[in-house]
Amino acid sequence: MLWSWGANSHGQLGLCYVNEQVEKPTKINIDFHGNKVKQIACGGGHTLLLDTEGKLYSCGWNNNLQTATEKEVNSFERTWRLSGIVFTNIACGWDFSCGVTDDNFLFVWGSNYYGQLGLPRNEFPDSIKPIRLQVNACEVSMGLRHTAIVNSKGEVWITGCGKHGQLGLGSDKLSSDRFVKVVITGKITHVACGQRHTVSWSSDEKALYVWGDNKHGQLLLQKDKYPKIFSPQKIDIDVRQNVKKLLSGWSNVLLWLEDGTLLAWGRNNYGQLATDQTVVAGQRINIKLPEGRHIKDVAIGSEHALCLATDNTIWAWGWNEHANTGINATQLHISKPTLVPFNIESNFTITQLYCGSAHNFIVIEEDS
Amino acid sequence: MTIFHDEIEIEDFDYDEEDEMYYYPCPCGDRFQISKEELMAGEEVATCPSCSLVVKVIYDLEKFKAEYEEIVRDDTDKETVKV
Repeated sequence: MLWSWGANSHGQLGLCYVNEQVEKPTKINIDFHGNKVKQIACGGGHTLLLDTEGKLYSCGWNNNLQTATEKEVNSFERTWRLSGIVFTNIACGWDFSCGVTDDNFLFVWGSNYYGQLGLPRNEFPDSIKPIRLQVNACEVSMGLRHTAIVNSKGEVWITGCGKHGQLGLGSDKLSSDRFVKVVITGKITHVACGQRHTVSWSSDEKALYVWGDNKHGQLLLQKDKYPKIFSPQKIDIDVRQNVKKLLSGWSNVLLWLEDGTLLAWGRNNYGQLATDQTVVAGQRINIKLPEGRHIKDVAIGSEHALCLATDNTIWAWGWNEHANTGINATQLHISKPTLVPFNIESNFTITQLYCGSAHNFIVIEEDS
Repeated sequence: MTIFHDEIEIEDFDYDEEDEMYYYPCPCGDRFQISKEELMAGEEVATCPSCSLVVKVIYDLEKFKAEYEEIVRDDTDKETVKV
């Protein structure tokens, strides 16, 4: 079962209607032909859904063909344009999207205005229907106007807008409309694109590589000394274990480690780091759920985050103007992990959660 | 004092020629917007129709006016040629 809440200005919640916001987790009455939800990816105002058979559905804003449908729809519809293709992974940027196929090729669609789909601008103008690239992709992340992939060799390839250094290709290469290899010595396993920055994790070196805009300390570097970084900078944060997830909001980053530790850094003007203390650049916040709860999963929006605990509860923090967190919308900012009010029957378990800019999804399954 | 969510250079906005509006993504999923007319009048605050956030538009008013007037003049010249 699928539930959603938050901003719904373009029908991105899949609830069959458009409105400014949905303040509480609300059930979506839809059946994916008997299949379960495998993955959801959310962009600025659109949503992609992948079922367990690798079939794709979408809804929401379609001004640049980012949902790969003919029309803009406010309930999940099968993207027939991509039928017959089995996807294993999906991602969304602001108004562009992609899917990785079961043979590791990359399909891209939506806005290519900044070359963020890796397609030459002179041949492929602003809004693109799905097209298959001869690109091998294992991991993929899309930001506001750029896209990064990790291939099977652990290399990062990147394309799109690089005005703020987010491509990491040096200060004389500030845009690209083809995927270009980023020069990094370590083997990369995780990559995350923010509004104007990129962060990545090397599992063999146990180090971060960061580049792009550092206006809010999102690169863990001093803001005044390094306002922007145009080439990857290696940062050892003294973590000697594997990473479960590396996620980026618009100007903040979450790093979830194998032992359950959740680290956050970057902008904190709306409580994005789950603390009301003043945070200095370079400082990492260790986010802890109340009463020693353990983290089962975590998701990040543009300026808020959601966390699923192993006791079947959801915790949220950050910007809340659209009830993005699912917590009382009269509180504009939530500056500590706060319980999202949600009644769940005892024989059901929350199994997945996802965030877009300001919208959210959770998947609930009946215990077998 | 207005608290800006961000400061964005005019060249980073997407311009829609039809409705003469400048747009930049807002974290709520909608877009900050400001019209050419407002910019010509020296307005520098772009607002989002869906939320309370605002951004400051970084631009040079004189240069912006000069560029626009040049375009208008070009158009007028074309009209003259046609006649």
